[in-house]
Amino acid sequence: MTAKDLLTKLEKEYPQSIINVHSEDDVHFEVYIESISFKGLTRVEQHQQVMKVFSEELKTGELHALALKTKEKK
Amino acid sequence: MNPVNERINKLLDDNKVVLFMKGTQNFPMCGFSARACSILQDIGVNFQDVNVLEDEEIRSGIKEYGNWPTIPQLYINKKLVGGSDIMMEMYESGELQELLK
Repeated sequence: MTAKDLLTKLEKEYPQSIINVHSEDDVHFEVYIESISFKGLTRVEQHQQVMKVFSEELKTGELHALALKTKEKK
Repeated sequence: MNPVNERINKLLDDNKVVLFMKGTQNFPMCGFSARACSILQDIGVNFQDVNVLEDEEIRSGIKEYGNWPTIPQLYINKKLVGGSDIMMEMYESGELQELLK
């Protein structure tokens, strides 16, 4: 799984959002998402929503190190 | 209630601060678990570490328990706080120190 794969999947799930994905080794990923769909959600809920997008990859371990920074886009 | 949830409940009842992690607080086995430990150690709070690498039942059970699919995970007063990224964010803002008072 590459940073590009993550970005493509996130852009599909979070249209009109600010998204960037960073990884030096394609194993540890840092993701920043600013989206209107986080409106009214706590930080934990925002992260849970994003991780649900990768529930399969997280279960198989294809993706295991994902650091998220989420923000509600006004 | 299934046995795994009972075990988790007991752990959370008996300890105010519980970090489910890979490895132990003295020998963390993964970067994010190490980061989580150093944050708590820097704040100087005692916490119970649970090495999920040595307990497969807890490793999968805790992910279901709080609907959080990654390790490490921090619980304070039986409430899920989050992974190492949220811990870092709260540590930098001082929110985590407040919560641990």
